Amino acid sequence: MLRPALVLVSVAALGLGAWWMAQLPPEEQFSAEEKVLVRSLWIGNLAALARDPSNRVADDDEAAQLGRRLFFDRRLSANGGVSCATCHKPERYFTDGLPTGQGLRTGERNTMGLVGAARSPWQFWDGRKDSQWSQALSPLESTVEHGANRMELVRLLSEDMAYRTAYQAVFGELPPVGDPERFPPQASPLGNEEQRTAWEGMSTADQHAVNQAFANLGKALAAYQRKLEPGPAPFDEFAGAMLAGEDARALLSGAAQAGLKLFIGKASCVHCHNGPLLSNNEFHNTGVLPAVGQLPGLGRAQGVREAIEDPFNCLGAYSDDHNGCAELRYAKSGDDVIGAWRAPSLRNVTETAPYMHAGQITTLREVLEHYNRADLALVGHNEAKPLSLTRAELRMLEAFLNTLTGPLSADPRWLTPPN
Amino acid sequence: MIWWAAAGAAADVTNGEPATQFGESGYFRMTLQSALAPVAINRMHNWNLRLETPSGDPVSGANVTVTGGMPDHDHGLPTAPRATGTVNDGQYLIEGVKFHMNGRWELTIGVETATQSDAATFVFEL
Repeated sequence: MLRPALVLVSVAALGLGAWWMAQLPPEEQFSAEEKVLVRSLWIGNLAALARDPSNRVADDDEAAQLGRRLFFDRRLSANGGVSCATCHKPERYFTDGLPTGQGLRTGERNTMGLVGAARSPWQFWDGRKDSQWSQALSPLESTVEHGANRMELVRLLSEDMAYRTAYQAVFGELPPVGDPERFPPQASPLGNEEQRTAWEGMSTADQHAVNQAFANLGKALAAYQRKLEPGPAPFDEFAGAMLAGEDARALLSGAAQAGLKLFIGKASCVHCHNGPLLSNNEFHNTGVLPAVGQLPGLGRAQGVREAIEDPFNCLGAYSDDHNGCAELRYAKSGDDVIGAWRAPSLRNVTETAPYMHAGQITTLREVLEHYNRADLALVGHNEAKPLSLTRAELRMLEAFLNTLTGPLSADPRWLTPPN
Repeated sequence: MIWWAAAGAAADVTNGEPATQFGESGYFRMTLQSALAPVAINRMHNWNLRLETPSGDPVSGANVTVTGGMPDHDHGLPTAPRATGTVNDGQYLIEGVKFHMNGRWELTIGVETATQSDAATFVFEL
């Protein structure tokens, strides 16, 4: 038999709000305005993936298959031990569970998930890349990640017969990298001194040809990553049923329903975490402290500078369409975006700890407490304001966030390496 | 919804209706209209501006700047819009406008000619 005191404690632990929510008839659970917001987050509201005119093979299936093979191939690294999947693990929603990425060495940034990433106009935490294909090039040449150089990567495409055949079917001829007079063994404008010198010794036309093939490698990787779309989570089942006028109460716990109400209301999460990805993919300074021992980063202020100067951006020589590129043309820079980092999607957030740009925060509870406090930022200013949420309300929010995990909406073959 | 003091009536700019305001210094009358209706968050789009003297004569060739943000959240616009394609009859095309969250937004249109400068702030709720 339950004692009254125990019942009271249980109710308090669940939160009175959650208990109250669960008792309401469905038509009264959420107001008309709240339902508009719930619909905006619902995966049924996810638009078809927009084209990427800067990558003419973005939706080419052969390019995606080539990209899949490249994604899992550890030969795309200096030591033969690092592939894209080393950090972007399919079984972890294409994250790695580590505070910061671990390639050849330990990186400075948390590995961002790839699910739905094709929908973001900017890539990386600081948005220093304006397309997925351009993003894919950066880790390949980073000395802490793959540590490869573009010359040897293009040579791999040329010398591996399976790659060569697949590449040529999608992109046409590769540069004649077998000619040692024109193409040194290793070369890159971003490499070590020897590689940079070798690069400078090449003709401009040959540099361009290697850059083009390198960009194409990124375009194939992007075609693959565009297949990694989010699928419905328990929240979506609830939202779909509720919006259809059905009694959805049994589809989410009372605490999660109350958390949803807070998410779109008092807790203000929906301001930045909006739309079916639960992210506006924009840059916000929310006063996140740097990792221990690190200076605070400039965030977007630095990222946008790099994006504008990047030869592989939407307006550059290797983009397939210069007519659009509005995000880059009208990108905002300057003091306003100091210390701002990209808001990540909250889809599958329970499975993608740790959190923030350097994995500084270990648990969702601590993330929620961070926003509840909204301390002063070390650089720039914190856009977030203290929320004054109770501990019970934080638990409700966490219960809601735990309902955002679902399987990918992708053919299973995209989640495994090719044979 | 939009509020503007000068006219005392409301035009729904978020639904593509034109809204007119006088600049704070009273030199210019500005009519602002979104080319995207209804205005949706997270979508890059354009606005049209018609610039006139208080008596209704078009003002072409002015230097027009666009700033704005969400005062309640202490942040600006997510993009840096530019007024481009100035044509005859005081018409300006403002490109690169984006709003990245719901709430109360401000768009401030700054106008500078050889002799006068003025600004008007349009306030609306998304």
